[in-house]
Amino acid sequence: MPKIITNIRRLRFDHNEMTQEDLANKAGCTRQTIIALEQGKYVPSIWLAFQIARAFNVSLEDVFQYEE
Amino acid sequence: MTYKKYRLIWVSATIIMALLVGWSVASGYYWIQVPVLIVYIVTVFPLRKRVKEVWYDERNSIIDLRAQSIASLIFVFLSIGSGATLLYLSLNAYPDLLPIGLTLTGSGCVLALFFNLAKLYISRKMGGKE
Repeated sequence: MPKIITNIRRLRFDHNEMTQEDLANKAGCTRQTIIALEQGKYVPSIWLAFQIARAFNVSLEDVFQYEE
Repeated sequence: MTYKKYRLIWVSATIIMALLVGWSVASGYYWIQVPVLIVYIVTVFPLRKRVKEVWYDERNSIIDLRAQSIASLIFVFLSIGSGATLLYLSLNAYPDLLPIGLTLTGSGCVLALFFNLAKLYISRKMGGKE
């Protein structure tokens, strides 16, 4: 089954240990959604994926990878 | 204002409002309900805009949609199932159960019908052709 891999935890660490709350506020979602994303339990919409990438100032594929 | 603080105020205000409305019904002062409702709306609703943090997003929306869908499905099955049982009993031994049976099966069928009509409407609005 295809899987979406996220680098959110590493990117938060690289961005001065950004908290989940800060990222949620920047991306326009709740902290629970960030937790679910980091645990791989939720696949975000295109809109949210772009918002998260924008919050880290990186491209979409730096945050999410599609694995067959 | 944090979301937790907002929820605390909202729950407290709702309990106070419910107590006042209950007291007004019990004591016969029905007119109190109108000012209570106005004060509640004027104080609680503007507070929502003062919550700075994000507290509702697409994941919550999907959770709500799935929960509503499952709740509707359970209601449809339970009401039609129990309604049909009551209708069967009303035909054989308990004629008093006929209106309850008809109400239950009818409400279940109407909910299923509205659910499918709403689904069709939203699907067409979002570009689908089903």
